[in-house]
Amino acid sequence: MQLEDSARPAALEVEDSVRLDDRTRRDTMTINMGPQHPSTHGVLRLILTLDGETIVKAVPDIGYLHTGIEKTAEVKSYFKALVVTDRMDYLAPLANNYGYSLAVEKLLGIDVPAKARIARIALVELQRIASHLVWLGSSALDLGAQSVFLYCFRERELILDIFELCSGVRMMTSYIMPGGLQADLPPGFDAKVRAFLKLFPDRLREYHDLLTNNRLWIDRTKGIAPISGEDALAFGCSGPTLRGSGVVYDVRKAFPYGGYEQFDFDIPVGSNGDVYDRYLIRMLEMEQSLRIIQQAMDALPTGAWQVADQKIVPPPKYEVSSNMEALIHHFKLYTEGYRPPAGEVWVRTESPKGDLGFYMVSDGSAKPYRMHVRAPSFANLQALPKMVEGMLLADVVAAIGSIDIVLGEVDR
Amino acid sequence: MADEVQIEGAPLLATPVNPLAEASVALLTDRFGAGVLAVTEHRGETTVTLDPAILVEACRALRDAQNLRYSLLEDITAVDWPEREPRYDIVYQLVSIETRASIRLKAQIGGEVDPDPEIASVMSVWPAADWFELEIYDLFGVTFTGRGEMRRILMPTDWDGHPLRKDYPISGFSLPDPHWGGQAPLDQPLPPGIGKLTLRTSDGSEQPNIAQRSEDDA
Repeated sequence: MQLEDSARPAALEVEDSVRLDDRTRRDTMTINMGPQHPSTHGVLRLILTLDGETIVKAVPDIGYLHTGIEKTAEVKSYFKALVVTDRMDYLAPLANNYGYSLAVEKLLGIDVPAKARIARIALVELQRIASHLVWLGSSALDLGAQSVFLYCFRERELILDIFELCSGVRMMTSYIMPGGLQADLPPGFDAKVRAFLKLFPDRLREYHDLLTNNRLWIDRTKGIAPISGEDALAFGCSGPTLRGSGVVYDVRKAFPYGGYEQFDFDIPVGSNGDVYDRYLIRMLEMEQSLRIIQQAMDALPTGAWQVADQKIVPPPKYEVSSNMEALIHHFKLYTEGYRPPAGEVWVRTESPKGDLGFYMVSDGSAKPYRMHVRAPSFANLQALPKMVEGMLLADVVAAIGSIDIVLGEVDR
Repeated sequence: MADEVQIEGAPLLATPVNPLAEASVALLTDRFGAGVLAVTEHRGETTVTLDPAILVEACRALRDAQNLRYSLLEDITAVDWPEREPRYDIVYQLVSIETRASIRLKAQIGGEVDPDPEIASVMSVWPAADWFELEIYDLFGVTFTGRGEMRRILMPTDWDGHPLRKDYPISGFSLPDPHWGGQAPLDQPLPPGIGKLTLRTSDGSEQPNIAQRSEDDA
C-alpha cells in the first residue's frame, strides 16, 4: 500500500509565516484543538489557524469515531440492524430507532396501531428533552457555568428512569422497533410521565433564571458565531442550527410523519443566527415538547402496541412455549427475518439535532442492501468554519456547543 | 417471495401524493429531454435517473425554478451494485423549504470499463455537497470533479480500499493480530520502534506493518 500524498488533508500543510516585504512578515499559528479536548463533545479535531487570538481558518477533522455502522447494517437482518442505530446519536437513541423503524415500515408498506403511533411520539419528545438537557448542561459547562450541568442531569435522570421502566435499559433501549414497540407500555408509565410533566416547567424556569438574562451568559453567546439563513441553508444545516438563523423548517411541520399532524405545537424560530438564538430555540423547544407529550398522554388509546403480523414482530413468549406456529414464527424471525419487497425509501424525521434521514434500499432479501443515514450533526458541522472564522478562539467552544453535535452520529 | 410479508395483521401505509414531484419531472423532461433516463415511483417517492453529463445543469434548474425552489440539498449517497453495469448509483435527495417539494435524483456511473469512476460535483449549486461528496469518495472511491481536492474524511488518510463497496470484506483483514499495535506490558521496556513502524503479534514477536510489507512485496 502506498501513502497517497493527495489523500492528506490540505490543512496539515499550512504555511504559518508569510513574508510581506523585506522587513515585515505576518505570522499565524496553527494549532490542534482536540480530538481529546473536553469541549469538543467527543472526538472532534479542529485544526485552527490563529492570528493572535483571532481564527483565520478552521478545518474540522472528523472520523475518529467511525465505526462502520452502515456497513454493519448490511450484514444484519432488518430486525437486528435496529440495535446499531441506537449507537449513532447516543444522546437520543430513541429518535434514531424511530427514524429507522419508519423507514423499514415504509419499505414493508405497513402502518402501526394507534397506541404505538402515539406512544412513540411521546417517547421521542421525551428523548428530545433529554437530549436538549445534555446539550444545555454541557454547553453551559463549556462556558464555565458549572451548576447548570448538575441540574440538567438531575432532570435527565427522570426521563431515563421512564425509559428504564419501559425497556429495562436507560439509554440504548431499541424500544421503538419496526412494527411498533418492543413491549407494551408498563403500568406505571402514565403516572411517571405525568409526574414529569408536572415537575418540568418549574425546572425549565430555573434554567431560564440561571442563564437567559445572565449577563455573563449573554456576553459569551450574543452575537457570537453568527450564520445567516442563506448560508445555513446552503451548508445543509437543519434543526435548531437552521432555525436559529430565521429559516422556518421543521420536518414535523413541513413533512408530518407518524401522526405529528394531529398535534398542536409551535416551532420556535430565531433571527440573529448566533449562539444565543440557538440556545433560546432549544429552550423553547423543550416547552413545545412538553405540550406534545401532554397531548399524547391524553390521547393515548388502549389496544395493540405492535402489528399483529408475527412475521415482523416476535410472538409473545407464552405462546412460543405452547403454540407450534408461534414457535416457528419465533425461530424464523430470529434466524432469517422478513423480506421487504425490492425498492428504496427515504424517511426524514426531526431528531433533536435536526433533519435525520434514513435511506434504505431493499433488494428483496432479508438484509438491508444499503442503509444510509443522513446525520444532522454531520451537515451542521460543515457550517462550523463559516461560523467561527473571524471570531476569537474562546468563541469556538461556544460555537461547538451551540450546534449540538454528537460525534457518534457525525462519524457513524 | 417478496409478497410473503403482505398479510393481514398490519394496516397498510398510506402513500402521500406529491404533485410538485410531477412538476419537477415535467421540468426536467422539458429542459433536458433525452437526459432523463428513467422516472420511477415507489411508496409515493419519485426517483429521476439522469444522464451524469447533465446532472449539474439539472440540479441548477431545479434549484432556480420559481415554482419548485429546491433550496436544501438534504443528502448525497451512493449504492454499489457490483453485478450491474454501470455499477454505482449516486443518489441526491432534494427538498424545498419554501414549496415543500421533495425529489430524488440518481446518476449511474462506473463499472467494468470504468473502475475509478468520476462524476461532476454539485458543490457549485449547493455548498452542502462538500462533505457528502468527500464521504462517498472515502467509502466508495468515486471521484467528484470540478471542486477542491478529494480526501478521505472518515477513514484514516493512509487507508487502503473503500469500505462500503460490496467487494470489501466486513471482516478478515490481513493485518497481524492485534492489529492496532498490541498492548505493551507495563512492567517491561518497550522494544525500539514500537508503535511507529512495527506491529507486535500476540506472541510478542515484531512484524513490519502493512505498509512496509506491501512495499517489500513490490
